[in-house]
Order: sequence, then C-alpha cells, then structure tokens
Amino acid sequence: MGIAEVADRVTNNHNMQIEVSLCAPFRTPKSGCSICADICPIGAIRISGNGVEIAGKCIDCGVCVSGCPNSVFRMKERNDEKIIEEIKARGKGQEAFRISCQRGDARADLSVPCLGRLTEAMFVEAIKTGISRIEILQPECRKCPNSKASSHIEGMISRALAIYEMVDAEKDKLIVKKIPLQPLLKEPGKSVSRRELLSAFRTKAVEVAAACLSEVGTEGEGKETFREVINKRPENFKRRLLIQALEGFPSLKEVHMPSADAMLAEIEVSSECTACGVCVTLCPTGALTQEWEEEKFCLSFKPSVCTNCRVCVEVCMPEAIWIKDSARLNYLMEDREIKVFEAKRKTCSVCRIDFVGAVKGLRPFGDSVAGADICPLCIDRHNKQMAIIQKRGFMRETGSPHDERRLK
Amino acid sequence: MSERGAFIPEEVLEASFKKPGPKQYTLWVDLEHCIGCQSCTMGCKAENNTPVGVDYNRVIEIEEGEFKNPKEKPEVRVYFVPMPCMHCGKPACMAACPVGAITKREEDGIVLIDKDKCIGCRYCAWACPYGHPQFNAEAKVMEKCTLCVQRVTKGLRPACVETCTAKVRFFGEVNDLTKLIRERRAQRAFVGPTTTEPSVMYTK
Repeated sequence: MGIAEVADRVTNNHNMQIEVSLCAPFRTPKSGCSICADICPIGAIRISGNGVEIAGKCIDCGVCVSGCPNSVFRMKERNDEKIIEEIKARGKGQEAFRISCQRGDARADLSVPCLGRLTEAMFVEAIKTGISRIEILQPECRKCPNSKASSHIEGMISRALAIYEMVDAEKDKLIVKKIPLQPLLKEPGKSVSRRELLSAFRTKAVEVAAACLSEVGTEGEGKETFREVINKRPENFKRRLLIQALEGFPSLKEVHMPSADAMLAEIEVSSECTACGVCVTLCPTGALTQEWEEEKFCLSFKPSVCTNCRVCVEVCMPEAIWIKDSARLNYLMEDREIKVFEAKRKTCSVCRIDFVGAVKGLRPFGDSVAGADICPLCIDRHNKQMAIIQKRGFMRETGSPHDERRLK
Repeated sequence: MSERGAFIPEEVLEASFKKPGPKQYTLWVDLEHCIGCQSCTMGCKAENNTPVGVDYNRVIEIEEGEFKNPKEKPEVRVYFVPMPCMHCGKPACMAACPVGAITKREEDGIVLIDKDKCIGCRYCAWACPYGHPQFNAEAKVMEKCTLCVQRVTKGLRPACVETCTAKVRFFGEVNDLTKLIRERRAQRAFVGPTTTEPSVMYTK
C-alpha cells in the first residue's frame, strides 16, 4: 500500500466495504449489470475488469447497498441490521409509520439519507411491528442531486407492494405521499472547546491510521487466483434479512411479479445445453448447481437463492438458458431445488471427457468411429480441420488485414 | 450448439477488438520446403512441457491435385502445413471467453490465456476457427500456443523456429516479414477462414 493510498483512506470516510466476489461484472465481463454505477448520486462507483470500486467522494447514502442484487456493498456504521432495529423500536404501538429522507420530513419515524437506502426486508419488518400503515414521504426526487436513485426507489416500492400482497396485508398498507423538497438539514452544532476539537482530530487520525496499517501487513500474502475467489460465495446478507423478516408470516398468498423488477428469477433451460458448467461456476450466489451422476447430467436451480442478476443468461454461449417473464415470489420462502435440465451422460472416445446428448447438425466423422460416442467439440474440431484440408485452395491469398489497418 | 455450430455474434467479435497495438509479432512458414518432420511440434512440446494430448503446434498433411493416369505425369502435390495459434487480429477465443481470461498483448500482439482466470469451459476451442485451444485435463484449464512469450521477451526466437530442421519457419514483426516475403517475390497467404484476421503467414 503506497502513501497515496494511505492518504486516501485517511481523508475518505471508508464506511463502505465491497465484497467483489459477488459482483457480476467481476465474475464475467459479459455482464451488463451497472446498477450501482447508475444509481450512485455522485457517480463515485466505477465498474472495470477488476469488478467494482468506489473511486470518488462517497457520501455514505447507502443506495448502492440496496441497489446491488447480490449484496456486494456493505456499510459498517448504521448497516441494514441497525436500521431494522430502529424500525422495530420505533414502530411499536404506532398508527402510521412514516419514512422519509434527508431532504424530506425531518420528523419522520425513520429517516434515511436517501429513500433508495430502503430494502425489501426493512419494508417487511415495518409491518411486522403491527402498525396499520406505512407512509413514504417522498419529496421531488427529480430536483434532488440524488435523482439517479429514483428509478431504483420505484422498483423497490413495487417489490414491497408485491411482498405485501404475498403476506396478505390489507390494501393501502403502503402509501407514498409527495412532499416538497427541503434544503439539506444541518444538525444544530454544539459548541466545543479548542482542546476538545483538536483531541477529537487526534483520536480520529490515530484510529484511521491504525486501521490502514493493519491492512498493510496482509497484502502480498499468497494472492488468491480468480477461480478461488469466485468459489468463495460469501453470504447474501440482504436475502437472509428478507427471509428472516418473512418468517413471521405463517401463510402466504400466491404472488407473481414481472421478472424485470423482481428480486429473484425463474429460469428455463433448453436442449441446447452442453453441460459446460459455466453458469454454475459463475452464478454469484450458487443458485445453480450441477451433478454428474453415473448415467446422467443434472442441472438444478434454487430460486430462493437467486437474485435475478442474469449472469447465467449472459455467459451461456449456446444461449440455452433464459429467464421467464414473471417470477413467483413465494419461492423466497421455499427451500426447493428444481431440476431444470437433465441429459444422458456419455464419454467421448477421442478426448475422454464426458458430454451430454446428441447434437443435431454436427456430422460425426469416418466409418472407423461409427457407433462410438464423440463429443461435439471433437466433431467440430475435426470438421474445421477437414474444411481446411479439403477446400480447394486452402490458402487465402489476400492482403494482410494488418497492413490495411496501419495504412489508415 | 446444434445447427448453428458455435458462433460468436459479429457485434461481440467487433466489440472485443480494440485498436491494434504498435507491433504484431508472428510467424512466417514456407510450405514449399516443409518436409513434415514434426520437429517443431517436438521442440514446442519440450519447451512448453505440454501434457499428452495437448500440442501447441500441429502439422497437417494436405494433398492437392489428382493422380489420374499412371502413364501421364501425376499432378499431385503434398503440403505439410504447421498450424500453431494464428494470434489473430480479432481473436474469436478472446470474444468467447466468459471470464475474460484471454487477452491480446499491446506490445507484441501475442494472444495469451491467463491460467489463473481460466475456468476450463472450452468456449475458446469452440469459437476458434482452427480449433486450436486445447484442454489440459489435469490442471482443468485451457492451453494454447503462446508464441513462446517467455523466450520472445528475452529476445530469443520461439522454440518451433529454432528447432525447424528445414529452416522454413521465421519469426518477426509482421511488416518486416511481409517485406522479406515480397523480396523473395513470393505470394503471401493465410490458412483457413480469415474472419478473425490471422497473423501467421504462409508461402507456397
């Protein structure tokens, strides 16, 4: 860690932790996910080949914590568990539970820096306290610098409403009230002496320096390979909190919601699947698992773990996997594994690697191997070689594309 | 992967292609004099310590012409075509890799697989028009010709070029080799489909 990095950590309040192994663009560059970068109000989040990082002045609004489907972002101070505790404490014996943001109503029962900080679990914990309704006091998000989070807020409210339907809450349990946009509130400062001020600086500086130095020692000790990192699969804490919140409701109504905004997905797999295992390896939460049994290959899916991050769809080369239009939210509370693909297991006589099924359209080669199992990859490689050998004039006498480019 | 075969959509191939770097190092193989002795294959195997079943360089035999009438002069010709990685300008393997383990180096245009990132899915072998990347069953990763990058960075020539018995393999920057070919008044060509802009050049 260089001096610049240490200085950066001293000046920036690093309340945010990033669990990059859960990040979809980190696991595969084919992921189009950019939710965190899109909703960060000050554009402090950068997505690159190394995943995601906070590359600017973070204001700890926590919108990224709620926005990321896989719980990549974690806050140290006032984390999700803390906010849920606040909800449980203040919700008891109340008629209406009012939630607002820093630019909204200061007298709200729960005040968060931005309404985008709210998660599904918080909405469920709120009605568990027994209050009759929840009021979201939402100012005009468009005029606020945090306006980038407003689409996320809309999605979150639609998910909350769908969950409320599932737990059979009364209609109009959740109301959104429009209020004017307030200027940023400043807490009345209490006067401190010069000595108190300087000693506060010193304590804070020592704390931050100690935190930086403790990290310096661990760097360079056997860097993990990419494969090891993606196999770690740390906990999706937001899913745990949501399931814990929903455990209080004995009977659930059947609810489906459009998959675009849903917090989980239902997937289907076609016969194009080649059992390559890429979706299983790259699924950030481990919702997809595979099993090579003696006679067959099975691909299984656990919707309660799925976060609708779409990595599986984006990486599958044969495009054998896709997401249904709607998602059944009841899967959240069902610990079920669904078999989504099954095929007969065969062993290739050429490369000795297992494969599944027969692949239409690829012609097997030669009578000498008639009746033997040959995997699609070996067939394809042989066909490519034959195409080169048998084509009349196997060489293309064209100008080098390199020259054309350099001349431009 | 059935009727279509493995395919990389045009837009994905284009998107994965960045501006070419300053230099492209490559091989030139003179097929006129290649005798198919496979020394290059063996030299490569010794240098890169590849396991059984994995050959970075493969020499294939191509017969051209027909042997019609034994009384007349036969018009048959056999070529031995060594096929290493073509280190393409638009590598399909790089476009296909789901984890971004394949990169094309800026400084010399060599296409490399990062074995720490590779998850052994074999998509690169599907996508390569030459079927070049091969699976290392022990390490469970994909391997391919590296143009002996470990030798090239030290100023040496790749092992296949050094061990060639008939001295038909040449290594250098693509523009320099092209100049050499033109000085010999030979016609430069590339093998197989050229949609991925292969770098390795051949002369008959």
